[in-house]
Amino acid sequence: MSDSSPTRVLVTGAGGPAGIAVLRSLARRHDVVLLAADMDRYASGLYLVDEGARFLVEPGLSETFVDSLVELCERERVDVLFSTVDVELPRIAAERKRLDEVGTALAAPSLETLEVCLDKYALAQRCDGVLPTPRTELLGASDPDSWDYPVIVKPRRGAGSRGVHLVADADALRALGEDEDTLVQANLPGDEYSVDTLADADGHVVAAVPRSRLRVDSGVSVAGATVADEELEATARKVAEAIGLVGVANVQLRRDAEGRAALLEVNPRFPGAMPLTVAAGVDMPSLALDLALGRELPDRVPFRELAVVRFLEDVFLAPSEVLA
Amino acid sequence: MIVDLVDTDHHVHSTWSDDAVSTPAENLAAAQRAGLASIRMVDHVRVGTTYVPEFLAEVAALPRVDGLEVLTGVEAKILDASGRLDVPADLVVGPGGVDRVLIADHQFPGPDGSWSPRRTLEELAAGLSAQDAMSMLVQATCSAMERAGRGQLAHLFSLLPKIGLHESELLDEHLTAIADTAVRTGTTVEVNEKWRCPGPRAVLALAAAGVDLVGSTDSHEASTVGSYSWVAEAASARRLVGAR
Repeated sequence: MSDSSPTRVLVTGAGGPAGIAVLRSLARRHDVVLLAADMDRYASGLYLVDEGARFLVEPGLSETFVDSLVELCERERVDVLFSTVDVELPRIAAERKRLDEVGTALAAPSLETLEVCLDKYALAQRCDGVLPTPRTELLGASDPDSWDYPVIVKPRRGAGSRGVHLVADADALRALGEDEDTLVQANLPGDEYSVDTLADADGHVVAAVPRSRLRVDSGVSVAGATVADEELEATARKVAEAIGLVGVANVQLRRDAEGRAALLEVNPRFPGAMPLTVAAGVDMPSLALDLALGRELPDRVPFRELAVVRFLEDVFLAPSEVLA
Repeated sequence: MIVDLVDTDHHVHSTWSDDAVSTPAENLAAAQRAGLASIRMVDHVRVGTTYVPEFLAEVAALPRVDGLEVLTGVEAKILDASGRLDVPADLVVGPGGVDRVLIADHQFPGPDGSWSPRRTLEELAAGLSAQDAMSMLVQATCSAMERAGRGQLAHLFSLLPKIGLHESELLDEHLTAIADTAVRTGTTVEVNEKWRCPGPRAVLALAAAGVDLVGSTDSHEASTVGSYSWVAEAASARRLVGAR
């Protein structure tokens, strides 16, 4: 690609907070033409890009999703693809080579990194001994009498807080049966932090920005603050190294009974609360774009402590402009 | 009848293309609102595509609009330097089938198949000269016109920026070869709003050679059908040629 030709970036999941965050960050770059895709015609992020750059795509779980996405990238001459949808990401990352063949770079961690993050049991095993990691066992392979209660029970795979709950005692744990796809994990009693983490092509962590989630509504952080805390940053760096991170991931930490930062889980994608990290000084979508384009990243990008409260915004359109 | 470029839109996608959002009926209504004299409904095909008869039936069933010509097409990629097109083997072009095959430079047509932009850049770095690359692309485009029978060059030269080349590197003989083949094969060439190509020099050369030029928004949603800014300037350039 010549330097004079703008970079064409497609963002999928344009209806979600993460998609919007990426679109708004990249919209500030004058060297970028933005395209947006979602399966829902009312996805608000579609309407943050120019008419003619809005695409309806198949659901991420559809059998032909990847085929049609690769064709879309080829036809639209997409230079870099940002996927912000959990269910799509591993499927797309598995076909990174096909995207590469049509000239599209995927701005996402490697498939290997995605897989270890999306399997919370594998993640706990990978990080055990490297950093404080709560005891984690498969439900079917665990002795209910060996735990301090309450414990956390959660699906081995899956995103967000879906299916996560506290179990009060051994009898209640026994009653859950022996599902191999469910994890038992020691409950961490302390404060929780999300650390937005960006590693360069060599796996060197360029920035790790801890955020407190001061208020959460329906899984979305609606008030938060960046927190300068060496221990949180250092722990996130260790996680990034352990999972071989290249690109952006959201490392979730919680303080254990001794007050140490310990691993909860890793979401290997852009979080919806990314605008706070951007405003605090680390424009991760923009840096991730440079990384995908093979450009050198700074060795380290500092951030400042900053708080945010969030609100819904409106995009007003002529009725005819809403995709039919 | 001479129809201005901006009164035509010969490259409009519908929901038959995966990611497009408007139906043929919605695109027709949009063409009417925009006051177009001619619209070509076009969808993407590959070798395995089976929907073409249904697509044609849907377009054929649209209500007639006075003063608005409705044409059809399928858009296919040039697969290699021989100009082979990514179309279904049973595609009918002409009566009973699609009116035209739109010939698309989605990838660089290399001698051994499609080259990705990276592969093309690597070949250029490894010694393939820009002139030779241009000649391969032009040659493949001309061969594709011969193969298509009734073709239309879609977004001609839109590939160039992606492989680090520019239309200014085209030789006059390249433009002459495309113009001569287009005239001989009856291939139309679109002036494409979305990709802003081909540029004024090529438009002027093609128009002067008598190539049938048409306007194209390459729309995949009704709201942009027949909506031109860049092409409007190309259209005035063509009028200058006509007045000479």
